Amino acid sequence: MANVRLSLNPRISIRPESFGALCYNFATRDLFLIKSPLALRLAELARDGIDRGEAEKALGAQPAQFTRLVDALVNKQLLLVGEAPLGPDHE
Amino acid sequence: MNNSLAAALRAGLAAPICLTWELTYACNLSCSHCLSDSGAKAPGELTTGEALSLIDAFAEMGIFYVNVGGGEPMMRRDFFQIIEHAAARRVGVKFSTNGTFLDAAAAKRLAGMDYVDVQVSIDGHDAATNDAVRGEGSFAKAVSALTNLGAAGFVNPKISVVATRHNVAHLDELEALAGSFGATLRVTRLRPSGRGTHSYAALRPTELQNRELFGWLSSRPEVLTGDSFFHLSPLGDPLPGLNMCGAGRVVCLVDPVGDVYACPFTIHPDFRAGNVRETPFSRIWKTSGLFATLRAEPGPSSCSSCGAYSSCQGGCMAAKFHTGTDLADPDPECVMGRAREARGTVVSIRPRRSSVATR
Ligand code: SF4
Ligand code: SF4
Repeated sequence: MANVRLSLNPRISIRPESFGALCYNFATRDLFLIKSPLALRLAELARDGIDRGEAEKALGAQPAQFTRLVDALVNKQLLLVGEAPLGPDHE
Repeated sequence: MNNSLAAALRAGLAAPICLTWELTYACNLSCSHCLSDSGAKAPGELTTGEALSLIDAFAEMGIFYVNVGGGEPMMRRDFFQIIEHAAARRVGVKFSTNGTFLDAAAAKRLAGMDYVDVQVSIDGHDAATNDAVRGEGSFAKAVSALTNLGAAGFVNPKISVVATRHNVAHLDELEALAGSFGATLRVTRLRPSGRGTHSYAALRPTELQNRELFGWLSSRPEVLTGDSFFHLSPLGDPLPGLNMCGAGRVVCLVDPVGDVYACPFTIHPDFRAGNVRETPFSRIWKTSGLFATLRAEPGPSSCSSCGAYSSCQGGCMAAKFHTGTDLADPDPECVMGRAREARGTVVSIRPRRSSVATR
């Protein structure tokens, strides 16, 4: 589990707002908001792709809470699991 | 749309969600309900350089997409340069066209672009119904545009219909027409702005037709509505969408000379918030006194006592304004039968000359 990559869906734009952030999925035209600061930090961490285990450590979240958070963001298609686009060092 | 999002949207956002940018007032057609009273190009329309910088400003604000319209946007010679710059800056473009200039080459170019949606305007299921409003030959041009898009492999264009007295009975045929082009149907409300101020009385759907229209849309969540029928919400369950007047909150208009208005249907000095040549767009969006007023909680109105207010919210501000209805009174198409006698039309005042001096 620890080596699964989490990455931000490149089709989604995130814009900070007073209540958190507003997100737009260019593929599905879905507009939604994120209010949880933890979710926003996770999205930020996943911007360039991150190891699931590393992200969990960085957020300092409880395992169960972290799993729920990842599931929720995967559900929103904001996070992609195991599909990290090649980083700059792979180019 | 959930409630917490609706509340956040009412208070105003860091940037609009639904920004319309009319690229030019020039148009080869002269539709009788044109919201922007287009025809001739206005003097002092934004230059290519100004248009590209405006896109940069949109990108920096994190604007997800812009609704590009006009006039006929493809009449600008730099049309592709503008939308390609938007795509490069990851600002999506949903552009509305009458289709005249959408030939095979243009269709191919559009099909190759990411972040672009095309809406072809058609206001009737056949040439007779459509051309009565949009002009002789306009149906054939729109159909040819859709054919070109299909041949070029453009996926899922939209057919955009303004609901009128003459086409509400033919929604099934319009749906079939869209289906035949692999297109999604979009139906929006006729508002009395631009030339529509004058044709509204003759073209607006009857009360009975509004009921039929609402019922028809209710059973078709896949048909897009631009969130424009929330004044009909008391007739049943609200249609999907924000269901509120977004003017100055999530919606605004940048016109061809850079004037910023609260909504594409309020081209009038009363709803002008500034000009992008004088003030950066983001500053207008954030600091306009007009927009602050529109974002405030509405005061008591003659709708407050109506049981349907929570779903209808008094209807469309532009429809009231241009029919001379007090903004605190019910929508002229109020489904509870509470519309008041209006004082008469207030015409749109779009610039015939640039409102700021160009250097
Ligand atoms: S004024 Fe009417 S058209 Fe404009 S945002 Fe409000 S409801 Fe929509
Ligand atoms: S009275 Fe006002 S709130 Fe009630 S249905 Fe009519 S316009 Fe809507």
